[in-house]
Amino acid sequence: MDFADSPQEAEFRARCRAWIDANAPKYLDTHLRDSIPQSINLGSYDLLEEGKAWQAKKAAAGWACPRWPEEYGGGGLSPIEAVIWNQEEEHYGLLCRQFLIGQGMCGPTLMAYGQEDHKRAYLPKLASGEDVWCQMFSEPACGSDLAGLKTRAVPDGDEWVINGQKIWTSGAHFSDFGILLTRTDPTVPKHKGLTMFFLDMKSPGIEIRPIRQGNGAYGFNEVFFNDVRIPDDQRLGPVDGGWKVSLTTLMNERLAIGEVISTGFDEFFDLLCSIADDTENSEDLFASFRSQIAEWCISQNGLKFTVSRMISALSKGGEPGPEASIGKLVAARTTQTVSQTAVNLLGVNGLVLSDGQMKQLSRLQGMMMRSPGMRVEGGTDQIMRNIIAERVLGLPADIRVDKDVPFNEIPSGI
Amino acid sequence: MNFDFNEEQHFFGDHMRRFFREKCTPAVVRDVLDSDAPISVGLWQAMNDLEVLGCGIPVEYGGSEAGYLELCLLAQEVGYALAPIPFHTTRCMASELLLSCNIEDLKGRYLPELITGKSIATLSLESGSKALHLNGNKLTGYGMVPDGSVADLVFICSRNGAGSWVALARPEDFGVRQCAVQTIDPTRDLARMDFCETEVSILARGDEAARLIEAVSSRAAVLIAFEQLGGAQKALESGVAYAKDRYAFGRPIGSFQAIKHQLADVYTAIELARSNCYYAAWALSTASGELPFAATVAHLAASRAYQLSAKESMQVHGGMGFTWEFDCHLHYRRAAWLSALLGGAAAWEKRLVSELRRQRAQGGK
Repeated sequence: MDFADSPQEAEFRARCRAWIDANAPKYLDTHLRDSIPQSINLGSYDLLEEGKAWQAKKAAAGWACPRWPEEYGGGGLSPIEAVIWNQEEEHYGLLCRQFLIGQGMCGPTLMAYGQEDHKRAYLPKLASGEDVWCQMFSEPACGSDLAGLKTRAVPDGDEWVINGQKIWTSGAHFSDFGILLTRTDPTVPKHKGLTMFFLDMKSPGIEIRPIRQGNGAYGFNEVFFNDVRIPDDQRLGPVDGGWKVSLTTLMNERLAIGEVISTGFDEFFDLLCSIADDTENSEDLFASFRSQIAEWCISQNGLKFTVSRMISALSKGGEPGPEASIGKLVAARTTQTVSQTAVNLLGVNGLVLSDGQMKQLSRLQGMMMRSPGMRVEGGTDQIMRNIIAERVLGLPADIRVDKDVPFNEIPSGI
Repeated sequence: MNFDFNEEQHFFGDHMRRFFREKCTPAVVRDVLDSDAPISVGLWQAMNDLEVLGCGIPVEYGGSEAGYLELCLLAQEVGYALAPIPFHTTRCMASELLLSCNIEDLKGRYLPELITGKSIATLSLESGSKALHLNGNKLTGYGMVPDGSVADLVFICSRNGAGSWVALARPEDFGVRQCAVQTIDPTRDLARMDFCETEVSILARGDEAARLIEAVSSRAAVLIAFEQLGGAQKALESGVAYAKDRYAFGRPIGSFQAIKHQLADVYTAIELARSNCYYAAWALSTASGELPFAATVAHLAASRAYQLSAKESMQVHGGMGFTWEFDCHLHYRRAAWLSALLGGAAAWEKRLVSELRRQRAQGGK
């Protein structure tokens, strides 16, 4: 048991490090180090512009989309090499999180189900950041119950006509293309009448409206479809076979392995220590938080070494085991509790939005306001627990009353 | 990176699981539970015949080539099987104290006895309590000693800063009075030992003793954490199995989200504990400077995971879980025992905060 690289891995790591050292946008270091992953603040620099520039540079040198085949613009690297790259890219990786949905979910879906000429035309531009892609699955009336979506696709010659609404679409407002899950047959049970497409986000009839989040930021959009036309050759998978295609997409919905999973604990402990430095009864202060410190430290350290276990599986040529499923669940809820406690530590002063004087407090305030979304996006806490219970522990599926009912006969409460 | 046990080590763990499945049947555990027997002598003998206690002990003391990683997996299987044997005291605590001390003839004399099962040893960790007084090499007072009823060697550690000391008593030599006490976990032994001007051998005093006690605490904590991890895993598996078999309202109770989420939370706690334990196993097996921190997070995480798993699994079993007949209460008891054995959560949480502050003062991990 060890954490050391194999000689090949060490050699590869050195190559990554040397290239990053020579090419990374170091003028962004301070901004990136002070940002929280879910809310990146580059000051006067433009995130999309800087992200595209860094991605293009990586693509030209063969570092973009490390696990993709080279003919589609990827790096053709092994899974463990991709992990090493992610580790070495460090905070610069934050610049490219905005491409993660496109490269991490849309790309693999296109690779699995797209026509060869489409793959060669679209994937390299997706890899290089020239084109940004978004994913349009959730709707106002269906999130966890994704198969209950209502956006209709109706055939018309060799085209499809789309009407409906999507929601929670990250980056739709700066995306060039998107993948879209639609209902093509409402007279069969819900999982059986879905079809997947990709389309140009500049198509006539698309309207994109930003959603203002509870923390005041704008990360998501509503996307409206009004008689939008998609050529049939942009269909991914068979007509009415979209559910299986969507599972391919969702399987890829996870953090890039190798990135540090943050829980806010380091920031909290730092803040606690700096308050203790100015307090007379500092031992009392530590004593009153001992039990919580233990709880959070266990979670933070446990997540860190769970990632190490996953990387080890990749290093041996395997796939990560079921322990991979706990990451988001633990990270989201820990971040929320830690940051709420931190903000409460300073009384009224903790409520005052920090202006960089207290860097840790400022980050923790950001985490507190962003964390409710973390517990919902990419599978709610409840859905994540269902997944663990059913797929890992093998408990029987819940009874689903709508499973064999034609979609248009399912009660919707409206 | 290879942050996992290797194939041979996993094979060894599987082998030990089969051994306990065969030799540590429910009847064996129940015999100790329902009688005055402090341990299962038969199981202890069968385990010693495998010569596995030598894992992690240098060959010059009769140890085996297998190391601490194997020992961690062995501890995990002891926990999984609820084995009523003095493994934790003899191997995880007393032998680790001997290995950490600098007295060569003590090691040479006792380690070979311990790892062949000829002697049972134990260790009592006292936090400088007033119940024990050491005057020269004469000990007076009393201590609560795990496996005290069966131990041939008793190490007593008194942790009190510069006033710390570590002593060795041999009940047969000194006529120490011992008396088994009733505890929460009748499958493990605890004895009250009374000393009256009893002559003991002093292994260390002052700073050296404090260092020794810290070292053995860390090392024992890692191994106990693996025992807890094994128990937690077993309790979860039994809860999951019951939730699949038991029907209510016309369906298996495991299909209800209330039950699913409860068991998913237990799984999550166990996986976090497992990752912390692996880290501690690495630190123990490589003699890393991170051992004090790693041992602390592992023992805290595993204590929480086992206590959570034992109580939630018991609850999933419904009324049956609250019967003497089902094993749920055995895990509930053992989880309480193992969490308290090395001083309890509050003491370890205090140690964690000191460790984190020390790391921060040194400028990060």
